[in-house]
Amino acid sequence: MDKVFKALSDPTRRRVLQLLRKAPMSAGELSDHFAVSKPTMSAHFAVLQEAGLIASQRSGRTIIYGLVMSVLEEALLGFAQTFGWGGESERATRGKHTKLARRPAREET
Amino acid sequence: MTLNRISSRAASALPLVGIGLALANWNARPAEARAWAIAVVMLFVMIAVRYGWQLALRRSSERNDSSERAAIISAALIRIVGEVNRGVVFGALMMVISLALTLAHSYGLVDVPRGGRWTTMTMILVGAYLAVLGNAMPRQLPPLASMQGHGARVQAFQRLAGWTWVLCGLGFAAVWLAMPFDEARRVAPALVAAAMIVTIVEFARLVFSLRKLRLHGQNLN
Repeated sequence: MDKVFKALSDPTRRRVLQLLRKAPMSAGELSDHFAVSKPTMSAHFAVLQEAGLIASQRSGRTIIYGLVMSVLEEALLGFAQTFGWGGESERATRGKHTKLARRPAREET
Repeated sequence: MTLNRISSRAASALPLVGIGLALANWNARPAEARAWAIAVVMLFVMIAVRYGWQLALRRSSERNDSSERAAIISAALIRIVGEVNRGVVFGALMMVISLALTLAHSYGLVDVPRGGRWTTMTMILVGAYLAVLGNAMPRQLPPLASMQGHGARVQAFQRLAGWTWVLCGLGFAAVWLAMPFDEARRVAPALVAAAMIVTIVEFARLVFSLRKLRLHGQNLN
């Protein structure tokens, strides 16, 4: 359970879980929503996987992530979102996303 | 592995024992025919669900497909069959115990006081079990490779079913904890029936939408 609390304490990881609530996504699709480097995102995915909140599967050259949260864990995520667990507030993370959306697309392959 | 074999054997035997006991109860107390008929139907549903999954597993292993996707689907089916077996064992065991006690009571072998603390405790445990089952439901993610294009629908169904059964289980336990015996006997089954209806309707909608999606894909090809 400690790993679950640790995973939910970070706003970026919570946002990843929120995105995966809609549908399974590839690592690239998920990373596009954040203004952080790919290694940082990989570290976040590793923490979430270690906590057993997401599962990954390789499909060709891409890795697809899917949510494997129990109802209790989802309720904890809801609490974490509401009360803003962790140091950084949700607003700050959203700010990052807005900045990313405004930034012109980088030519990165 | 041995545990899986034991649960598989128990899952085949217990519903049949339950059906035998329900028929014996029917014979002993024909006035309550409706209750025994419901018990028989529930046990037949358990048998049908179990054999349905086993058939799916057999078909999947008979198919000479050595692709990675087929291996993943087969592994998921093995896991699901194991889960179904365990569920059938628990559900059938609960029914067998209560049917055996009722039958023994009908023949004057044991004294089971109506509305006793024992029944209430059992029902609270059943409610807790339903909540635990519901809690784990969204974790039973089918292989992501098999969800291409419709992962969101499958995931949404699993989450809805999970929440429905958690709330149903907690409600069921709360009803038996707080309400008088006769009222709890009316309200608790209604909660389970409501959860079943929600799950079945949503499952039918999921199957319908997946079939539509598949047909649409075939038309495009």
